[in-house]
Amino acid sequence: MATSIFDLCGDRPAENTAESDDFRLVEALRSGREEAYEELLTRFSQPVYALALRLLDDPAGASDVVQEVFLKVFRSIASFRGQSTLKTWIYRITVNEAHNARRWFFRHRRREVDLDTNPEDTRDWKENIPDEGRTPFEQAFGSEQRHMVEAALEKINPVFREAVVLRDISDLSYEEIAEILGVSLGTVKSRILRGREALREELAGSLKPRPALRLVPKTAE
Amino acid sequence: MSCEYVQERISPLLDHQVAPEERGAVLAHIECCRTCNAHYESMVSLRGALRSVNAPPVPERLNQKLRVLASHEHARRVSRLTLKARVDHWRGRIHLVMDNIMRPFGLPAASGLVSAVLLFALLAPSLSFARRTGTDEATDLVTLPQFSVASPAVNGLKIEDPDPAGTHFETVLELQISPEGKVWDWRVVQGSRELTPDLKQMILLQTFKPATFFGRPAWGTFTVGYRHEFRYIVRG
Repeated sequence: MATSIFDLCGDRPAENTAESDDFRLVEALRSGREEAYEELLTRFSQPVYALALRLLDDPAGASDVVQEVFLKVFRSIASFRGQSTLKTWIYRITVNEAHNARRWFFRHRRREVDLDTNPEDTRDWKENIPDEGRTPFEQAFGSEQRHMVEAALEKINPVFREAVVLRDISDLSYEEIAEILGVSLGTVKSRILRGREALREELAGSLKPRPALRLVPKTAE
Repeated sequence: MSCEYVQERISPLLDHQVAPEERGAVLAHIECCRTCNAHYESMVSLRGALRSVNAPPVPERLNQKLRVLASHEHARRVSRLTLKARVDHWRGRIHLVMDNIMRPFGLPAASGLVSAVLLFALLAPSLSFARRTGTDEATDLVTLPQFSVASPAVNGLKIEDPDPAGTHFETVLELQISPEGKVWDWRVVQGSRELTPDLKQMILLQTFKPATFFGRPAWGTFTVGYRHEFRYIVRG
């Protein structure tokens, strides 16, 4: 006998699996199983760091934010009610911590010099991105294009940037973005649109055109 | 359908956020409008470029810090799961604090105590107590000779209570008192070497309570002096 709507219609199996994975992981964290902590870090440390880095443009600040995020996750996991997915919950904490860090940065950090770095860390993370299986020309072109995109992302309004990053880089749905940012779906659409338009203007003429729709001579409606 | 309206729909169109009935009209406009088509192409390229941006690797140092953080938080959570775990946790913390306190101070304190004991053991045999002299009162452990039975006055010589302060005597004698309380010998300390017979008789008739040392009778000295009337003083 079917016990849920997913059993009846067979829809959303991947999402259902993700929810059960989240539930299992949360329960394991609550019961203090050590491997659950490792699993949480394995699943979320990289995307959380990537998101924090895109929102802050500062590797040291992003590292601090990531540590704060996981500290909050570990300590607040008992209060996680499962009303959203674990990923959405963690991303929301990340966005909030990034906001706090950005505010703090503009007040204090700009006068400081980071001493807690080594030569490997001080190298721009963009230089470490692996890009296998491409020709040198493609690698050079791809690398240059990525640099331009990163530079353009840093220039646009942070409010629009976080929406674009969550949508196009973190690959979240509009509903998840609305939940993470705490805004309505219409606001998310608007921010993504404005962010993409701002990026398009920043990158005007520098992006490699891709084949889109085939032009057919017709009269415009 | 204006170009401005269509261009606003391009971004949601790429994310499948445009209603199906409107989607066809927008696509049809893009197909036939060069400006909107260019806009669409640039938006597709931008989206492709954004998606091609690789995820930055997590720095190794951050990875280590996160592992340490996870380990601490795991220990913290485990320590709060049950009452026994809480008690064990706090016992462990107290034990750790005591260890941290005792390790720096325990060795110096123990070595200081041992040194003190060794020094006392070495010096104790050579310790001696100063002998009490003068007008200090005798203690119970060491007592001085005292008059037991005072003889009556003989030819104007009279025994009186001791009055040592500010008195000058013509003759001062130091009597040696035996443990039996008898005068064993005397020595002239000051004055005439020749004693009168009356004085000799009176001295020999005196009986003393002997000196004691730890409660047992012992030899002692008793100093007396006389002038016109016989007086005595005790000097120890």
